[in-house]
Amino acid sequence: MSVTNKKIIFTGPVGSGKTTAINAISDIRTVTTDALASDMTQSRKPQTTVAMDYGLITLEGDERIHLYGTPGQERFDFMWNILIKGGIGLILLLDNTRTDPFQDLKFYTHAFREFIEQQQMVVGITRMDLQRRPGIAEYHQWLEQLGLNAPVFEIDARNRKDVITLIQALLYSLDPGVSVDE
Amino acid sequence: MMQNDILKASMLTISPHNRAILEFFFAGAGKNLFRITPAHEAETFIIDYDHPGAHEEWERIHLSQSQPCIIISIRDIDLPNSIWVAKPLTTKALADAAQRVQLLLQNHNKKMVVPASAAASSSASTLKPVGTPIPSTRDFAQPALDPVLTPKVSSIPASAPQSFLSEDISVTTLRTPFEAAPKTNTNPSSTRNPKLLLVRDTVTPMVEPTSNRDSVKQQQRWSLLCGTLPDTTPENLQRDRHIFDANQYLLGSLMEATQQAKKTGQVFQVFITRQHYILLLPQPNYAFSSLDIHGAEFADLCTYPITSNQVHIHIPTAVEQAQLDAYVQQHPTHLYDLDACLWTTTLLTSGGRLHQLYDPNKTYRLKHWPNLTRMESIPHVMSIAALWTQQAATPFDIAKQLGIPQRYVFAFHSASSYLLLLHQEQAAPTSNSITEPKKNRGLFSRLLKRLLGGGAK
Repeated sequence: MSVTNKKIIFTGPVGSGKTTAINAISDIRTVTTDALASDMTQSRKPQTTVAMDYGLITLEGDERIHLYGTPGQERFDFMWNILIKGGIGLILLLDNTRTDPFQDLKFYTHAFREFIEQQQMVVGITRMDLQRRPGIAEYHQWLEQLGLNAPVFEIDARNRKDVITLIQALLYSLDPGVSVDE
Repeated sequence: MMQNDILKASMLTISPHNRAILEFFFAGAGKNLFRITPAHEAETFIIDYDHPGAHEEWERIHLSQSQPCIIISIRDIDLPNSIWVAKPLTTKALADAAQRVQLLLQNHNKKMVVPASAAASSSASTLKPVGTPIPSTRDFAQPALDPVLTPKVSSIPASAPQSFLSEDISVTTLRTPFEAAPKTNTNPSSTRNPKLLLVRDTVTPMVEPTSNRDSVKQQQRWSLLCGTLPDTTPENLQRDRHIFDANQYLLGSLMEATQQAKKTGQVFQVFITRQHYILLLPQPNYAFSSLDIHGAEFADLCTYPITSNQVHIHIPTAVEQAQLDAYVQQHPTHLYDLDACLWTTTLLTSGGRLHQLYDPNKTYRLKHWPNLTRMESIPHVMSIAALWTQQAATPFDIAKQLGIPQRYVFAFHSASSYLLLLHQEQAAPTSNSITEPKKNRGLFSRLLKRLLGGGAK
């Protein structure tokens, strides 16, 4: 029997919560490739992901959903095209406390544009408890300016329920007819 | 049953709809359990606690009579000497309630005839003199009081899932003869392929409930947010009372104040009763409510039309604002996302109805998804949002395509409209049918099931 392998990709800038979000829903301990930050990243977190994060959700019949987190630093963007192959959708996490979240949104939606158009994207905004502005409505406006429409949710990446809601929204966006009763 | 006596019951404040349901039950499945009598002959009183005036009625009965009450309500009601039966009413729940009332009566009578010496001999069965107030059902349920009776009189709601209850009576949701049964399968007149038609008998939660008790509470909350109205047709919306006018409710005043607050950036204090208020804080997009917006009192305020001059809007002075700020900081649990507060208020008001500005000649499209991680969940909210983002459609089309009761779509439509998330379109509905299973639907279903608590790990 062949084993189904699909991927969900988590992307976003350094410190946006990709590793934490994957960890919140993965069946296995997240495999991560952290290293001491040696560049500007250092100002946001002492350690950062330099290759990728990896988590796994195992379904009945040994089907597997692989969870990949892209490295946040732009100099690793050559890896992104490799990671998205076989992906069913993109979870974009944005840190609301960063200097210019709109630029982050623009950068990542541009980088993954083709993949987003083929599949689907859901946006999770982290740290809104620390910084209320910009609000969800502003993210909606920005997405409109970029010619995109995607669900945008305030999330706490440590909260499993919030991360599950992101995945649910992704699956329903891909197929509104999906149901647990299938 | 503990005894074969038919319980003499009197129906007091009850809505016509629930009265009809009860009468239907008493004439059929419940005829060996209950007999309707005038109030002066009654052994128990039945009160619809969701009906206006019911609270006062119960107070009056409680103060003047010793008979227990059967309280029917969609909310968990914990009152002394009363049994709560959750709506929607089921034969099982009513039969169970009859049994529990018999136990209360039996226990009460036992106390009245027991010799004083016997009472004194056991501290575990200490009895109060006749004439002292009757203890609450939870008092009766204390194990030390009567170990034989204890297992039968528990705090489990009479509407608890089948797994809680004995297997001797089947559970049937009660409806009046004229009430439409819920859709359970394909519409015979539908030309769609029944294999592809989506019919949702069960509700996919956004997150898994942690226990059966939670599940019952969640179902009740959903009944409150989305109502229990049967499906209707566009022509019969008004006739079937599927339309509400926000201006008759707290919602109208709250929306007006919110618009002003957002426009001016000013803090608004909306007094919803003499004691309670909602503070609108547009700059950080928060609302502070002195009442828990998930509580029964707030639900009542939203559900029933308001009287003129009930709601007052006040713009706090700088001094008042500083005092309010300090108060808000001391009570952070009553601070809500403003949109989430409006969302819940609209759902409670709507109760599964469309608002008065709904235009049946137009189609609608969801411009943006609601912020569902911070808003109260309703059944099928994800599939409704996803489908309505992808196509312009009427609420009737959305419900039909998803195979779900209209009340969920109507509730979503109302709540999204007031958050300005819906866009009205002139165009004819598009027909991106979802009945054709998409690639990976099976896999997605299994993943959903897994994330929501089922499937393999």
